[in-house]
Amino acid sequence: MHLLIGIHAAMGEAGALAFLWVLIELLNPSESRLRRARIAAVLGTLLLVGAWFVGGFYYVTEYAAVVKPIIKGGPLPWTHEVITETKEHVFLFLPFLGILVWGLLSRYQNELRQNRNIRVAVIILSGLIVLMAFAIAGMGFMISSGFRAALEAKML
Amino acid sequence: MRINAVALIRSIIAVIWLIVGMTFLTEVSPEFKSILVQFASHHWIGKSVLSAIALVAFYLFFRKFKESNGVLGGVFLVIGSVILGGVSIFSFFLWHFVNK
Repeated sequence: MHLLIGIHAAMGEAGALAFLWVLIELLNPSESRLRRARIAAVLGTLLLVGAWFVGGFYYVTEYAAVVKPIIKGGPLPWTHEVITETKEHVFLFLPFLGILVWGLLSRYQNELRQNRNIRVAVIILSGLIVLMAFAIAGMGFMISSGFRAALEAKML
Repeated sequence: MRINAVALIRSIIAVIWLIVGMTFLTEVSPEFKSILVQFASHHWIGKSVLSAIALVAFYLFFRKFKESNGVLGGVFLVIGSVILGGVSIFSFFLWHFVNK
C-alpha cells in the first residue's frame, strides 16, 4: 500500500464524480443548477490536475524505479508494457477535457438553458470524462494485480 | 475575458494529437526521448509540461479567428480524437508488446 497511490486514485475518482455532478445538473438546468455545474466543473478539473501531479510524482519517484522492474520480471509483464503505458498517456487527455467543459459552461452560462446543442455537447463531454476516469481506475487495478502477481511469484 | 469556445475546442483537439504524437515519437526515437529528459528530467514530465504550454499557445493562436456556432460539431471532433487517439496509443503498445 502506498499513500500517494491512494491520493492519486481518490482525486481521480472524486474528479470523475464532479463531472457526473455536472452531467446531472445539466439534465434539467435552472440558473442555480448551472451555477452549481460551473462550480463542479472547476472542482473536477482541479481534482484531475491534482491527480495528474500526485500520480506523476509517484510514477517518476517510485513506480519507475521500484515497481516497473518487478512487474516486467513477473508473470504479467503486459500490465506494465501495455496497460501502464496506455494509462499514463491517455490520462493526460482528462485535465484538458475538464478545462473544455469548464470553458463551455463559462462561455455559454447565459445560453445553456435555451441552447440544447451546447447543453448536449457539455453532457456528452462530461459523460466521456466519467467513463474514461473509471476505465483508468480499472487499469490501475490491473497494474496492481500485475505487481502482486510478480511479488507472489517471487515468494512462492 | 470572454472565452472563445471554438478556439478552445480546436486547441484541445491539437493538444490531444500532440500527446498521441509525442507518445509514439518517444517510443521510436531515442533522440526525442532524450530531448524530453533533458528538458524536464523525465520524458513523461516533458510531455506533460509541453502539453500544458501547447494548450496556451494553440489557444492564443486560434482565438484570432472568428468564433463560429459549430460547438456541437467541434465537441464531436474532440470526442472522436479522444477515442481514436486512445485506441491508437493502446494498439501501439499492444503491438509493441506482442512483437517484442
